[in-house]
Amino acid sequence: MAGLEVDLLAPDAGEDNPKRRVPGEEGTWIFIFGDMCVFAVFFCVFLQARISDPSGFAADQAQLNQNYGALNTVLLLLSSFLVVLAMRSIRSADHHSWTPRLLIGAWFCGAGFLGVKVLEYSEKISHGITPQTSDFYMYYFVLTGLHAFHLILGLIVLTVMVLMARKASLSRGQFVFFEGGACFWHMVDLLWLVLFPLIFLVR
Amino acid sequence: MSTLDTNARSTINLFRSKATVVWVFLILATVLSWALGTDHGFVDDHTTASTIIMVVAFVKVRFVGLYFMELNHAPLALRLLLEVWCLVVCLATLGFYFAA
Repeated sequence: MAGLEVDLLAPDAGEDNPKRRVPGEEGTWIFIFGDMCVFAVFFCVFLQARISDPSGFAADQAQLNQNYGALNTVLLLLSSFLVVLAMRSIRSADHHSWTPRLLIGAWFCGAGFLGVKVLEYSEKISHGITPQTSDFYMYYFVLTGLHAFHLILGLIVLTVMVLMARKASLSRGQFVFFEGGACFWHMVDLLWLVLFPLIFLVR
Repeated sequence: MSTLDTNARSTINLFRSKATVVWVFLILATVLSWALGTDHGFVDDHTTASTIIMVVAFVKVRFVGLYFMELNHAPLALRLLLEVWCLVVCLATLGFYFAA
Protein backbone atom coordinates (compact mmCIF):
# COMPACT_ATOMS: atom_id res chain seq x y z
CA MET A 1 0.00 0.00 0.00
CA ALA A 2 3.02 2.24 0.19
CA GLY A 3 2.41 3.40 -3.38
CA LEU A 4 -1.10 4.65 -2.68
CA GLU A 5 -1.71 8.23 -1.76
CA VAL A 6 -3.85 8.87 1.28
CA ASP A 7 -6.70 10.60 -0.59
CA LEU A 8 -7.25 7.50 -2.70
CA LEU A 9 -8.28 5.67 0.44
CA ALA A 10 -11.05 8.11 1.22
CA PRO A 11 -14.06 5.91 0.26
CA ASP A 12 -12.90 3.16 2.59
CA ALA A 13 -12.31 5.47 5.51
CA GLY A 14 -15.92 5.04 6.58
CA GLU A 15 -19.42 4.60 5.19
CA ASP A 16 -20.33 8.09 6.32
CA ASN A 17 -17.23 9.79 4.96
CA PRO A 18 -18.56 12.99 3.42
CA LYS A 19 -15.61 13.45 1.04
CA ARG A 20 -16.85 13.21 -2.54
CA ARG A 21 -14.63 11.95 -5.35
CA VAL A 22 -14.93 10.43 -8.82
CA PRO A 23 -14.15 6.68 -8.80
CA GLY A 24 -11.65 6.00 -11.61
CA GLU A 25 -10.84 8.38 -14.47
CA GLU A 26 -13.43 10.96 -15.47
CA GLY A 27 -13.09 9.69 -19.06
CA THR A 28 -14.16 6.24 -17.90
CA TRP A 29 -17.49 7.71 -16.82
CA ILE A 30 -18.06 9.31 -20.22
CA PHE A 31 -17.57 5.84 -21.70
CA ILE A 32 -19.74 4.11 -19.06
CA PHE A 33 -22.67 6.54 -19.29
CA GLY A 34 -22.30 6.69 -23.08
CA ASP A 35 -22.61 2.92 -23.23
CA MET A 36 -25.54 2.97 -20.81
CA CYS A 37 -27.32 5.51 -23.02
CA VAL A 38 -26.71 3.39 -26.15
CA PHE A 39 -28.21 0.37 -24.35
CA ALA A 40 -31.12 2.52 -23.11
CA VAL A 41 -31.92 3.26 -26.78
CA PHE A 42 -31.71 -0.49 -27.53
CA PHE A 43 -34.14 -1.25 -24.68
CA CYS A 44 -36.62 1.23 -26.16
CA VAL A 45 -36.12 0.01 -29.75
CA PHE A 46 -36.80 -3.57 -28.57
CA LEU A 47 -39.98 -2.54 -26.74
CA GLN A 48 -41.08 -0.38 -29.69
CA ALA A 49 -40.72 -3.40 -32.01
CA ARG A 50 -42.84 -5.38 -29.52
CA ILE A 51 -45.72 -2.89 -29.95
CA SER A 52 -46.44 -4.15 -33.48
CA ASP A 53 -46.54 -7.84 -32.46
CA PRO A 54 -46.90 -8.39 -28.69
CA SER A 55 -48.36 -11.91 -29.06
CA GLY A 56 -45.55 -12.98 -31.44
CA PHE A 57 -42.94 -11.63 -29.02
CA ALA A 58 -44.66 -13.45 -26.11
CA ALA A 59 -44.76 -16.74 -28.05
CA ASP A 60 -41.05 -16.51 -28.90
CA GLN A 61 -40.16 -15.45 -25.36
CA ALA A 62 -41.99 -18.52 -23.99
CA GLN A 63 -39.37 -20.67 -25.77
CA LEU A 64 -36.55 -19.07 -23.77
CA ASN A 65 -35.19 -20.77 -20.67
CA GLN A 66 -35.76 -18.20 -17.89
CA ASN A 67 -33.71 -20.33 -15.50
CA TYR A 68 -30.57 -19.74 -17.61
CA GLY A 69 -31.21 -16.00 -17.48
CA ALA A 70 -31.78 -16.06 -13.71
CA LEU A 71 -28.66 -18.21 -13.14
CA ASN A 72 -26.64 -15.74 -15.21
CA THR A 73 -28.02 -12.84 -13.16
CA VAL A 74 -26.90 -14.54 -9.93
CA LEU A 75 -23.46 -15.26 -11.47
CA LEU A 76 -22.98 -11.61 -12.47
CA LEU A 77 -24.23 -10.32 -9.09
CA LEU A 78 -21.82 -12.65 -7.30
CA SER A 79 -19.05 -11.55 -9.64
CA SER A 80 -19.80 -7.87 -9.00
CA PHE A 81 -19.84 -8.45 -5.25
CA LEU A 82 -16.42 -10.14 -5.44
CA VAL A 83 -15.13 -7.06 -7.29
CA VAL A 84 -16.58 -4.85 -4.51
CA LEU A 85 -14.72 -6.99 -1.96
CA ALA A 86 -11.58 -6.75 -4.13
CA MET A 87 -11.85 -2.93 -4.05
CA ARG A 88 -12.22 -3.03 -0.26
CA SER A 89 -9.34 -5.47 0.13
CA ILE A 90 -6.90 -3.50 -2.06
CA ARG A 91 -7.48 -0.44 0.14
CA SER A 92 -6.89 -2.45 3.29
CA ALA A 93 -3.46 -3.30 4.65
CA ASP A 94 -4.90 -6.46 6.27
CA HIS A 95 -6.56 -7.86 3.14
CA HIS A 96 -4.34 -6.61 0.34
CA SER A 97 -3.20 -10.17 -0.44
CA TRP A 98 -6.81 -11.31 -0.96
CA THR A 99 -7.39 -9.01 -3.94
CA PRO A 100 -6.06 -11.30 -6.73
CA ARG A 101 -8.07 -14.28 -5.40
CA LEU A 102 -11.28 -12.24 -5.18
CA LEU A 103 -10.77 -10.98 -8.74
CA ILE A 104 -10.06 -14.48 -10.02
CA GLY A 105 -13.35 -15.58 -8.37
CA ALA A 106 -15.11 -12.70 -10.17
CA TRP A 107 -13.43 -13.71 -13.45
CA PHE A 108 -14.69 -17.29 -13.16
CA CYS A 109 -18.24 -16.11 -12.43
CA GLY A 110 -18.04 -14.00 -15.60
CA ALA A 111 -16.67 -16.95 -17.56
CA GLY A 112 -19.51 -19.06 -16.11
CA PHE A 113 -21.97 -16.50 -17.51
CA LEU A 114 -20.41 -16.92 -20.96
CA GLY A 115 -20.57 -20.72 -20.60
CA VAL A 116 -24.31 -20.57 -19.83
CA LYS A 117 -24.77 -18.16 -22.77
CA VAL A 118 -22.99 -20.55 -25.15
CA LEU A 119 -25.22 -23.39 -23.87
CA GLU A 120 -28.30 -21.20 -24.38
CA TYR A 121 -27.30 -20.16 -27.93
CA SER A 122 -26.39 -23.73 -28.91
CA GLU A 123 -29.78 -25.01 -27.67
CA LYS A 124 -31.56 -22.38 -29.75
CA ILE A 125 -29.47 -23.01 -32.87
CA SER A 126 -29.93 -26.80 -32.54
CA HIS A 127 -33.70 -26.17 -32.62
CA GLY A 128 -33.27 -24.16 -35.81
CA ILE A 129 -33.73 -20.80 -34.04
CA THR A 130 -31.47 -18.05 -35.44
CA PRO A 131 -31.58 -14.24 -35.66
CA GLN A 132 -33.53 -14.69 -38.94
CA THR A 133 -36.32 -16.66 -37.21
CA SER A 134 -38.28 -13.60 -36.06
CA ASP A 135 -37.95 -9.97 -34.93
CA PHE A 136 -37.87 -11.14 -31.31
CA TYR A 137 -34.99 -13.50 -31.92
CA MET A 138 -33.12 -10.90 -33.98
CA TYR A 139 -33.24 -8.57 -30.95
CA TYR A 140 -32.52 -11.46 -28.56
CA PHE A 141 -29.31 -12.45 -30.37
CA VAL A 142 -28.15 -8.87 -31.08
CA LEU A 143 -28.79 -7.48 -27.57
CA THR A 144 -27.48 -10.48 -25.61
CA GLY A 145 -24.57 -10.80 -28.10
CA LEU A 146 -23.61 -7.12 -27.63
CA HIS A 147 -23.80 -7.60 -23.88
CA ALA A 148 -21.63 -10.74 -24.11
CA PHE A 149 -19.09 -8.70 -26.13
CA HIS A 150 -18.94 -6.17 -23.27
CA LEU A 151 -18.54 -9.06 -20.83
CA ILE A 152 -15.56 -10.40 -22.80
CA LEU A 153 -13.99 -6.90 -22.68
CA GLY A 154 -14.70 -6.92 -18.93
CA LEU A 155 -12.93 -10.27 -18.53
CA ILE A 156 -9.86 -8.79 -20.25
CA VAL A 157 -10.00 -5.79 -17.87
CA LEU A 158 -10.35 -8.15 -14.87
CA THR A 159 -7.29 -10.11 -16.08
CA VAL A 160 -5.23 -6.90 -16.15
CA MET A 161 -6.56 -6.04 -12.67
CA VAL A 162 -5.47 -9.47 -11.34
CA LEU A 163 -1.95 -8.88 -12.68
CA MET A 164 -1.87 -5.39 -11.12
CA ALA A 165 -3.24 -6.64 -7.78
CA ARG A 166 -0.35 -9.09 -7.44
CA LYS A 167 2.05 -6.17 -7.04
CA ALA A 168 2.93 -5.11 -3.50
CA SER A 169 1.79 -1.57 -4.19
CA LEU A 170 0.04 0.41 -6.92
CA SER A 171 0.88 3.81 -8.29
CA ARG A 172 -1.86 6.44 -8.29
CA GLY A 173 -2.44 5.89 -12.03
CA GLN A 174 -2.68 2.13 -11.59
CA PHE A 175 -5.14 2.53 -8.73
CA VAL A 176 -7.32 4.85 -10.80
CA PHE A 177 -7.30 2.28 -13.62
CA PHE A 178 -8.20 -0.39 -11.06
CA GLU A 179 -11.20 1.63 -9.85
CA GLY A 180 -12.32 2.37 -13.41
CA GLY A 181 -12.01 -1.31 -14.34
CA ALA A 182 -14.17 -2.27 -11.35
CA CYS A 183 -16.82 0.26 -12.42
CA PHE A 184 -16.76 -1.08 -16.00
CA TRP A 185 -17.39 -4.58 -14.64
CA HIS A 186 -20.31 -3.27 -12.56
CA MET A 187 -21.71 -1.66 -15.73
CA VAL A 188 -21.69 -5.07 -17.45
CA ASP A 189 -23.68 -6.40 -14.46
CA LEU A 190 -26.00 -3.38 -14.43
CA LEU A 191 -26.92 -3.69 -18.13
CA TRP A 192 -27.78 -7.36 -17.64
CA LEU A 193 -30.03 -6.41 -14.70
CA VAL A 194 -32.27 -4.65 -17.26
CA LEU A 195 -31.73 -6.95 -20.26
CA PHE A 196 -32.71 -10.10 -18.36
CA PRO A 197 -36.16 -8.89 -17.28
CA LEU A 198 -36.88 -7.13 -20.59
CA ILE A 199 -36.03 -10.08 -22.82
CA PHE A 200 -36.81 -13.04 -20.57
CA LEU A 201 -39.54 -11.98 -18.15
CA VAL A 202 -41.65 -9.01 -19.23
CA ARG A 203 -44.82 -10.16 -21.02
CA MET B 1 -6.69 -13.17 21.24
CA SER B 2 -5.71 -16.17 19.11
CA THR B 3 -4.55 -15.82 15.50
CA LEU B 4 -7.71 -17.67 14.46
CA ASP B 5 -9.91 -15.07 16.18
CA THR B 6 -7.94 -12.25 14.59
CA ASN B 7 -8.30 -13.79 11.12
CA ALA B 8 -12.04 -14.35 11.61
CA ARG B 9 -12.51 -10.75 12.77
CA SER B 10 -10.42 -9.52 9.86
CA THR B 11 -12.58 -11.50 7.41
CA ILE B 12 -15.79 -10.17 8.95
CA ASN B 13 -14.46 -6.62 8.56
CA LEU B 14 -14.05 -7.14 4.83
CA PHE B 15 -17.74 -8.02 4.51
CA ARG B 16 -18.97 -5.36 6.93
CA SER B 17 -20.34 -2.71 4.59
CA LYS B 18 -23.61 -1.51 3.09
CA ALA B 19 -22.56 -3.24 -0.15
CA THR B 20 -23.06 -6.64 1.51
CA VAL B 21 -26.61 -5.75 2.56
CA VAL B 22 -27.26 -4.40 -0.95
CA TRP B 23 -25.96 -7.64 -2.49
CA VAL B 24 -28.39 -9.73 -0.38
CA PHE B 25 -31.21 -7.40 -1.49
CA LEU B 26 -30.16 -7.76 -5.16
CA ILE B 27 -30.25 -11.56 -4.93
CA LEU B 28 -33.68 -11.54 -3.22
CA ALA B 29 -35.00 -9.06 -5.81
CA THR B 30 -33.73 -11.33 -8.60
CA VAL B 31 -35.58 -14.31 -7.09
CA LEU B 32 -38.74 -12.17 -6.82
CA SER B 33 -38.49 -11.08 -10.48
CA TRP B 34 -37.82 -14.65 -11.64
CA ALA B 35 -40.85 -15.92 -9.63
CA LEU B 36 -43.10 -13.17 -11.05
CA GLY B 37 -41.88 -13.75 -14.61
CA THR B 38 -42.29 -17.53 -14.55
CA ASP B 39 -45.76 -17.76 -12.96
CA HIS B 40 -44.30 -18.90 -9.65
CA GLY B 41 -45.28 -15.57 -8.15
CA PHE B 42 -48.28 -14.33 -6.24
CA VAL B 43 -49.44 -11.98 -9.02
CA ASP B 44 -51.63 -13.58 -11.69
CA ASP B 45 -51.96 -10.55 -13.94
CA HIS B 46 -49.06 -10.41 -16.44
CA THR B 47 -49.21 -6.63 -16.79
CA THR B 48 -48.93 -6.03 -13.04
CA ALA B 49 -46.17 -8.64 -12.71
CA SER B 50 -44.23 -7.12 -15.64
CA THR B 51 -44.59 -3.59 -14.22
CA ILE B 52 -43.21 -4.76 -10.85
CA ILE B 53 -40.36 -6.63 -12.62
CA MET B 54 -39.35 -3.51 -14.60
CA VAL B 55 -39.48 -1.14 -11.62
CA VAL B 56 -37.51 -3.65 -9.49
CA ALA B 57 -34.89 -3.88 -12.29
CA PHE B 58 -34.23 -0.13 -12.22
CA VAL B 59 -34.15 -0.07 -8.40
CA LYS B 60 -31.47 -2.79 -8.64
CA VAL B 61 -29.53 -0.73 -11.20
CA ARG B 62 -29.65 2.28 -8.88
CA PHE B 63 -28.27 0.24 -5.97
CA VAL B 64 -25.45 -1.20 -8.12
CA GLY B 65 -24.56 2.35 -9.17
CA LEU B 66 -24.70 3.81 -5.67
CA TYR B 67 -23.08 1.05 -3.62
CA PHE B 68 -20.99 -1.07 -6.04
CA MET B 69 -19.75 1.75 -8.31
CA GLU B 70 -19.51 3.96 -5.20
CA LEU B 71 -21.47 6.80 -6.81
CA ASN B 72 -22.96 7.54 -3.37
CA HIS B 73 -19.52 9.03 -2.61
CA ALA B 74 -19.20 10.72 -6.02
CA PRO B 75 -19.74 14.41 -6.81
CA LEU B 76 -23.43 15.27 -7.04
CA ALA B 77 -23.36 15.72 -10.83
CA LEU B 78 -22.13 12.15 -11.39
CA ARG B 79 -24.62 10.73 -8.92
CA LEU B 80 -27.41 12.71 -10.57
CA LEU B 81 -26.48 11.21 -13.96
CA LEU B 82 -27.19 7.76 -12.50
CA GLU B 83 -30.43 8.86 -10.81
CA VAL B 84 -31.68 10.59 -13.99
CA TRP B 85 -30.69 7.58 -16.17
CA CYS B 86 -32.63 5.21 -13.89
CA LEU B 87 -35.72 7.44 -13.77
CA VAL B 88 -35.83 8.37 -17.47
CA VAL B 89 -35.06 4.88 -18.81
CA CYS B 90 -37.52 3.28 -16.37
CA LEU B 91 -40.30 5.68 -17.45
CA ALA B 92 -39.42 5.27 -21.15
CA THR B 93 -39.44 1.46 -21.02
CA LEU B 94 -42.71 1.47 -19.05
CA GLY B 95 -44.16 3.87 -21.63
CA PHE B 96 -43.20 1.62 -24.56
CA TYR B 97 -44.43 -1.44 -22.64
CA PHE B 98 -47.87 0.06 -22.00
CA ALA B 99 -48.10 1.32 -25.61
CA ALA B 100 -48.24 -2.33 -26.80
